[in-house]
Amino acid sequence: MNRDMKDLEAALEGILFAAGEPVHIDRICSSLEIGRSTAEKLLGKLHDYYAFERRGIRLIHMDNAWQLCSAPELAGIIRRTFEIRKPAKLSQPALEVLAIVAYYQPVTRAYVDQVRGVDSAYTVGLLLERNLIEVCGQLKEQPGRPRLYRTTENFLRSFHIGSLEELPPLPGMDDSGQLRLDDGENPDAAAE
Amino acid sequence: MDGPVYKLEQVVHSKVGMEDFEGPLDLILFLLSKNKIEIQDIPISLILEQYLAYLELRQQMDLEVASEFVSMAAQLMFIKTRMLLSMEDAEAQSEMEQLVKALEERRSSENYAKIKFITARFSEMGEFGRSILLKRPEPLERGRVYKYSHKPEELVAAWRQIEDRGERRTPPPLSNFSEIVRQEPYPVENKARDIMGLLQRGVSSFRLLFQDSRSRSEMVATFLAVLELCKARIIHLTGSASDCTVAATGESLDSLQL
Repeated sequence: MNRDMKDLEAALEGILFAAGEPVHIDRICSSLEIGRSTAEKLLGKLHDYYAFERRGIRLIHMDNAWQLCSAPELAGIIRRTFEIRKPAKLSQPALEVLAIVAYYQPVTRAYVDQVRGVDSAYTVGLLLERNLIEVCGQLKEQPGRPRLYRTTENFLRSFHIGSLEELPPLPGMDDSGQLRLDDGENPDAAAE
Repeated sequence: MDGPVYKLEQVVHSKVGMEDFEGPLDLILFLLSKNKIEIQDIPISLILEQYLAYLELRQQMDLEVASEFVSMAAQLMFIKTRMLLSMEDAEAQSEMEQLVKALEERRSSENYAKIKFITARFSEMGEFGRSILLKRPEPLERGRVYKYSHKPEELVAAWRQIEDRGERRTPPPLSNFSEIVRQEPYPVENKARDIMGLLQRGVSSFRLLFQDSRSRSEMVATFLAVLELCKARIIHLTGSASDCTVAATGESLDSLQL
């Protein structure tokens, strides 16, 4: 790596540290006066460095926004240091609603109810509160003007996926058109 | 064709039970998904074509199943045709609605099964979010606390500036003003003594005190001396502005403090 690249990498690290919150790649490009591909290469390098050297921080990305976070394996130690509790786990209904929104977004609450077969108002509110889903519009022409929901950047971060394309494929959604509920990997889960 | 609706429902229900049975409903769903059409408007001709093609593939299959396909498709077309021919045919409408509802329910429950399946993965994935901690942004809007950094030399430079300013503040030496301000030629004290001399010699007119004054500044000095003497109660003035007399009070000149 030549001198310039090393400087750029350092600058990038500094920006991400100071930002704390996710920084969009366009911002990085314009302030470092580099192209997008260079920026992506640098970010990838930094990401690999943290992971490979097992540093205390990690670089994650949500779509095109990049952010530093503490290494997940250090969670216990960090929590002990600051005497903070582990965030509550999402309940099964919350996971279901979240999955429905994630895969079929944008969706109305009525759709969520229809798929689950039960009222999901409380769970939708809970997910909104946790900033895992957000309102992204309204079906103006439908009675009641139902709101549309989608997943948030926080959802991508919490589930460690770079973009919605990285969601694991739903069973039976392959192109063969076969509606298989159990894809062989985990037949018990579907039968539950 | 009596009671074929019952058959339809049976197929729907048996499928929900997750048997390994590829019934006509699966076919319809499959065809629906392939055509990317809404359940509400099933194009019979398209489905028929694809259905026939499908049947050809299935010729080796179990006849009983194949026959059920035929019956099913026929029933579907029968409902659809009746609906098309007479929109007022309530029975056909309701049968169609029933079919649509069954299909929708079926699709939802399939989706739900998929969602249930994936939540196990979601639960694992969510562990990441529960384990990372994020830093708050650096306060880019600076508060009152000073956070800039300086070199020590800057303090030295600042001190030098104070020194420069200090030199300018000390008053300039009197010699600088010798050309502008000369020592007063007629000290008030001398004038006071002169006045007392005059008074002792019997002079009593205020005006006469100024007789010997040769310049404006000497007159000023004399006047100041009169004022000072009055203040010290060594002399006192009486009379009017035009006719003023001066008299000594008898007080010693020593009490005059200038």
